[in-house]
Amino acid sequence: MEVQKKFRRSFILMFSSVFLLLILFLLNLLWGSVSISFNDVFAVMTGSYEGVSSANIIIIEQFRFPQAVTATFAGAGLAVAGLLMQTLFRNPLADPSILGISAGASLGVALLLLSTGMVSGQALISFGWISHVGIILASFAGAMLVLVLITILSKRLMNMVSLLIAGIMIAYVAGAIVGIIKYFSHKEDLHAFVIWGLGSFSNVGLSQIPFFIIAVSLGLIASVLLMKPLNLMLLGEKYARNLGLNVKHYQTILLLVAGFLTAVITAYAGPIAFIGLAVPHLARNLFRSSDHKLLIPSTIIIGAALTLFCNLIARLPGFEGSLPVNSITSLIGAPVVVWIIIKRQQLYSRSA
Amino acid sequence: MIGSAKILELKNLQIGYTIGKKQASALLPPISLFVKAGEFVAVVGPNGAGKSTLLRTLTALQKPLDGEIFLMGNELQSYTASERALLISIVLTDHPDDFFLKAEDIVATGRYPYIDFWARLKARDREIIAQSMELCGITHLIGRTLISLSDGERQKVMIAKALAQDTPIIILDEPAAFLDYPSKIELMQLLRKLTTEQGKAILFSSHDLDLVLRTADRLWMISHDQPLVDNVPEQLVLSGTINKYFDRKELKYNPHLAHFMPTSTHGKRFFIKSDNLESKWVRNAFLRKGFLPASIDDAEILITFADENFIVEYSNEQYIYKTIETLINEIHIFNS
Repeated sequence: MEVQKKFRRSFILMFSSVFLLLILFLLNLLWGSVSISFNDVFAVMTGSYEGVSSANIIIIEQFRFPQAVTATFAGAGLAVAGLLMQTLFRNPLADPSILGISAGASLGVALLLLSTGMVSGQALISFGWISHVGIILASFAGAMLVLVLITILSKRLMNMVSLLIAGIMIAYVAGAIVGIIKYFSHKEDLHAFVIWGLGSFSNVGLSQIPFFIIAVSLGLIASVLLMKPLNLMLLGEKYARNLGLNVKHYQTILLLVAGFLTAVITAYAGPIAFIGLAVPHLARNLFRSSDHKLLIPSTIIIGAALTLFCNLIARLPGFEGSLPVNSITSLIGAPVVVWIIIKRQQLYSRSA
Repeated sequence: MIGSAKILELKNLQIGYTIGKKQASALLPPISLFVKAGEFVAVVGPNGAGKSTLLRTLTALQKPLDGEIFLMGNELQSYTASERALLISIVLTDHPDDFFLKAEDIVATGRYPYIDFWARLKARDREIIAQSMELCGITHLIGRTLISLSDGERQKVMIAKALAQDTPIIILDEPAAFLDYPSKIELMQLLRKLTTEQGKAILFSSHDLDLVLRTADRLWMISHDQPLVDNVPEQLVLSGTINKYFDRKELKYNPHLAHFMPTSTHGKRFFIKSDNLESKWVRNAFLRKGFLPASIDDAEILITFADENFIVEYSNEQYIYKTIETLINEIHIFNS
């Protein structure tokens, strides 16, 4: 009876989350500096284009659709990466940026900006679309470099807390080097770097969308395959080992999956804060569960939905252009985390 | 049915840590012994003697320095992690601390070595989980999160997990350490029940000598650099081994009183002439106030409980008390 009720509650929640996700995706296509009618969006999406102005076709196909898809996958990927990190470190404050992977991405971008300035004497942004692809590659390279470093360190460091500290220190070092590079950069490049750091889902053009979707999906699929080991890791390393799990092995896999997701998403969208931290907590509190069979899918859906919501806020009608996404996710994410902590405390004192 | 199958056997096992690449530091002389099905064995010794290291080595969480461990007839290291998960289960002092982990979730993980890639529980698994919780008396905790439970309840949840794992041996590290006294006794009764009813071999560590002397079938006594002694509790008391292993200058295990007593030689000597319940507790009062038990000829203080009165004879005077409380309130008179 009790089990059935719980199952029904989870089912309804999951169904509503998916519904909310679809609504938000649609709203992302409809709303913006120019409002587009549902009929137009429907016509473009179904490929009939009947009675849609060419301007609207371009807005939907070239801008809004890629942006909505990017936000969906970036949100899902970051949220799942956060969940993996939180379970891996058994720490509720862990998130995708905690191991310095985002800082590595920043370093990559900063290095690219400075080196082009030094070699060619010109600002990177004067190279047009090449600068765009360059930033994606540099960011990915920087993030992967830190990830490889962290993975090697994880083999040498005895426990996860040491690894966490090492990761935070790597982030500081990367941040310091970025500071030095910024000091010597062109004004235009500095501006470009600041813009990159604010995050945006409009960097992924329609042509790059397939790469982005495939890369993020690989990470999402890997996470789904890790549900059983993740549940065991919640018990702590020793219990997990006693239950037959090769803990060291899975720690490395989790690092690589979460790190890869973070690297890909940061490369395309810039550093996006708080989605990875807040969404897993939202999922746990909504479903009142720590079972990854429930948490992985719900984190993916809620992560995508919340990010689409943030993107919508950033482009609310009335604003010229759009607000920086990273600020919106922080403005929404930080209160969510505080609210969860307060609610958690109430829950704890009630049950204790 | 259970007979004398050796579940776990140690041959010249050396435990300890390797420092750096080569240097090994053994905690104890080599150990050779075994555990049979249905046995309830306690590893006991002072803190830091190596109890946890021994248990970690036996559960393959740590490598032995030398020697062999046989589990169900085969070498422990020859099993894969997932094979071992079907043979040894553990209960540790540190518990999972995730906020939403519920009692039944924890017990369910005991079935993980048996279930498929997607961690789907079959009807049989659910049955075993329910039985394990029933046996540990925690069915009423279904739906409660682990962190909201008392230490005793939490310990039972972890034991139910070990039961669900359905292994011939369960190894517990200091299972009673954080429990209040009634919970300790309750826990020991539960473990005892598992050995008699389920034929499990149970090995647990404890630094609580009183507790293990009352409950365990056999004790493995260890102390710094001394060989491990394996015997029934009563023999260890009668042979004086306990004093040798719990070596403290100011404390000695008193086999008559069944607990540790200060070895101090100052304090007045007393003797209790009557033999009834009140007399036993008068003795308790005198002992805890630092008086020394002595024979009737040696004693400076003689105490009798008769006709509902406590009578104390001290330096040729008689003191009479109606209640034990009034006696204790004036007990300092006899120490001057």
